[in-house]
Amino acid sequence: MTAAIRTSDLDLFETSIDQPSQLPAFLRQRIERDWGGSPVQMYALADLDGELSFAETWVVLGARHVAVARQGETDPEPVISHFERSEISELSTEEGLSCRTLRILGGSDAPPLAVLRFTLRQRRSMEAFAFVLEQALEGRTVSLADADESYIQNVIRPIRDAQALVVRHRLAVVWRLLSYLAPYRKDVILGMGSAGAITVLALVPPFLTGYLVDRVIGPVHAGEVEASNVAEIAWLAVAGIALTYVLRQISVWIRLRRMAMLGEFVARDLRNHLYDHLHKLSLSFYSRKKTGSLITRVSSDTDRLWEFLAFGVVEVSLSLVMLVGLASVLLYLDWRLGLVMTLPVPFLCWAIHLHGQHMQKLFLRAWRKWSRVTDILSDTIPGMRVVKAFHQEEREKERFGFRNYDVASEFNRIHASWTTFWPFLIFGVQLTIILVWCFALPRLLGEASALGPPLSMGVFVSFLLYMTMLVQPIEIIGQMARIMNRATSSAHRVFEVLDTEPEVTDAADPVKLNPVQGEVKFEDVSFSYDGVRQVLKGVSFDVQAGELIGLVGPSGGGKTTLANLLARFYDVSAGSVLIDGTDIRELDSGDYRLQVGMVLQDPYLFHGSIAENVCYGMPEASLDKVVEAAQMANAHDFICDLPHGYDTIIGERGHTLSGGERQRISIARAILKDPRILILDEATSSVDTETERKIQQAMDRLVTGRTVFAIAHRLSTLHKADRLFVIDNGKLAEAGTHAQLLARPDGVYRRLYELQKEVNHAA
Amino acid sequence: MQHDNHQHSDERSDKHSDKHSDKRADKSGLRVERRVDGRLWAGRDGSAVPVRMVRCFPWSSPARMLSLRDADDAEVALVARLSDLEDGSREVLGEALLEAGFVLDVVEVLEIEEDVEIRRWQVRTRQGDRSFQTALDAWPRDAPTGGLLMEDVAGDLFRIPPLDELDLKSQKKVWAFID
Repeated sequence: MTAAIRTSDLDLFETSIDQPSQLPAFLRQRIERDWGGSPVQMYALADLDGELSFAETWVVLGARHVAVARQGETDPEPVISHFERSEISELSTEEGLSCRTLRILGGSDAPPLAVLRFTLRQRRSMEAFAFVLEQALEGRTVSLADADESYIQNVIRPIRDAQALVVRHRLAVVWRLLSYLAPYRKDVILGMGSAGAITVLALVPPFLTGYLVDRVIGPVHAGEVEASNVAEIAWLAVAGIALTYVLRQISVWIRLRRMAMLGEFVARDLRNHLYDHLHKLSLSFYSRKKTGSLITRVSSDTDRLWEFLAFGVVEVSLSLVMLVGLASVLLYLDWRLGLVMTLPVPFLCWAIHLHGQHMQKLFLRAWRKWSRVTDILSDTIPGMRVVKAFHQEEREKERFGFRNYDVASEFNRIHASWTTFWPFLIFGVQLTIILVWCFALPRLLGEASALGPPLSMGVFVSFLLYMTMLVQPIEIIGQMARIMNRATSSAHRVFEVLDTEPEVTDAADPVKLNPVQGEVKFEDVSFSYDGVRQVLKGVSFDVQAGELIGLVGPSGGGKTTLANLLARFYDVSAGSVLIDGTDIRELDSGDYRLQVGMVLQDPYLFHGSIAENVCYGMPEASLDKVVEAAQMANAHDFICDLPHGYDTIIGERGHTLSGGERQRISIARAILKDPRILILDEATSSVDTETERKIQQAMDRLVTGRTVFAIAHRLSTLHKADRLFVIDNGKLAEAGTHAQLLARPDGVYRRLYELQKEVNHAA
Repeated sequence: MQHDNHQHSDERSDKHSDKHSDKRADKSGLRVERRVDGRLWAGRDGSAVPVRMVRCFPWSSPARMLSLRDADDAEVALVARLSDLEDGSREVLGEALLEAGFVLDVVEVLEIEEDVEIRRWQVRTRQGDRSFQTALDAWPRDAPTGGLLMEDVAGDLFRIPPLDELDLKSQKKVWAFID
């Protein structure tokens, strides 16, 4: 195993995936020996055999060879077959629900060199394997990472995407969470000290009450002492009880105040830490995670942690202290009765714990059904126009009614469970009290028996008072697992984000290009979003500073991906992107992006005024500059028509404006930024002709004096392009001027152009 | 082993289907075979190309409407029903369907645990023991052959049989997931 593999990855693999975490060492040695010492470059596991049973077949790649090692059913020694990579003519894949078959072919009239069947768990490593072979067939070489590391990464990737944790153990998570308390040590000590005082002070009044009964009230009633002789002691005891109450409430005040504020500080720190980290993460992270889930982590998860730190930690620890304290006092007062009272406590806590587990199942079932209700709501409410247009109201109502009825039944099942359990639990506590009475009564009546010596009234009164204090800590201890689960699960969700490392990071000593000239070079660039499907395959081109390049081609061909790489939202999987001769990965990404502008198909505007949106990239811009940019973007006139002009609040995502208006504001934003490299991604699609004309005019002004990459489906909008790049199926299919490309009789561009001409003609 | 496809015959009528495509397979024309290179080949009148089979309704009607597509993803033929084909081709496509419909068939549920963002399952399948992970908000859906299908984070499908076909312990464990 190489040092390159992170312990956390290996740990995740070994705890989650029931298959070897690397190519067995003896196989590697045998294969490398058979290859004359040539090292293993890459490998993958095919986990199904021809009968679709689990199997262990390793397919191993070397510089010149491929080896297939099959574990025999009876013979423990694997059967290894080899063939030369030069024998491979083609690869063929068949896809099933949970079974893929990769055939490595030597020719259409020859049996396959290898047939590999695997479940989707192996898909990434197998497809990466196939990609390397396919690229080789096309004459390209793919630079390979460490074989062990890439195998582990490919297999665990789906789990990592769902859960990017470094710290996995519950206790470690709690410690990590508690480490956020470190800056507030003084408050923690004060809060916990007060909480401890509350617990100890709570034990005092029943003790003093018992003392009063036994030492004062009892003897006076029995005529053993004069009331006047013990009045002082009696009042002192009452004063003691009063003082205890006062001290207790002061402690409660300190504890609530300190811990509540402390929890809030920690939640604030976590939120800040989390939000800062979210800005560091690459776009790939946002494509993997749902926005709602991320918002929940910053908002309700940190809120839940506040609750846990402010109250949960204290409540749980105090309940433990309280139970131990109660048990000690009760055993001290009368060990026999103390045992009667304390022995049932663990059983009661256990009953609450079991009930909690049962409730968890019930809740799981209810939430599953609840999600069906919300599915309908999130489907039909945004799609109400379609529902009405197809007159499907009754069907939707029926569907909702059925699921609503179903979920109500599940929640009623939950209510039935807890409403039955709690009276039983309280009855259990009451049974303990009855038991205490049964054990105490003969002794209270002065009978010495096997149950113990006679019992004083005062001790028994203390017992009765202590019994009332027993229920709350039992309840909290019983729910301790749930409280901890909720908190650690929230902490995990927060730490998951914090533990995610940005995929795009700056070099140790990043280069600043001031200013960027705008010369762009792609050298054999390949890229995959998911590590499997290659969206760009060996794209190479050179663009001079100031050139306007039109990117055209069928949808899904890789145009937007190319733009994403140019903005360095992602790093290339292979090859390199050079800006003014420097690899983009060596640049200071913040400084570089300040000199790159983007106008997107769906311009994203923030909640705020139009002016704030125009100068989003340059908050210090003067009003003159803002207006000038808006004028150049053909936005000034419509802004002036608004009652609040540039101060108009445009709402979330600019929803109060039309698509064309939003687009022109985003162009003004780009003009004001004055970027050296500009990316226009379908900026004029889905607007009417008049708006398109205005946007086109604005863009014509925008493109002057900078390097521009403009993606457009409407080829007519690229009339000013110096050159056109046709991107098809991840490759640069054609490049040239409009005239040059039209001159190619079977060219992709010519086909697209003629298709659009036909459509326009028909329209 | 569960082959979640043509064992479950689909009797849904499709009265208009024959009018829809001139590529629709018929007994006289299309021939499908598995050649020596291991691939499916399909064609008419002696000419054939390697194809892959795409099931148009992999869940609801797995053995109906099979699209045979060439390397350029162009449809070579659309097989409405296996019975439309001559015996040899029917047998070949039937075998391909077995592989295409393969899902892991759970016989016992050993453990289900919740973790952060994922649920961890340990199951015994007909193929052997397997642990897998699902997203917390991933719920099983009805399998066309009865029972439920659970998809793990990697995309593998696990068929959980109807409740009464499981042992008592497994039933308790999956109860929350089954209606």
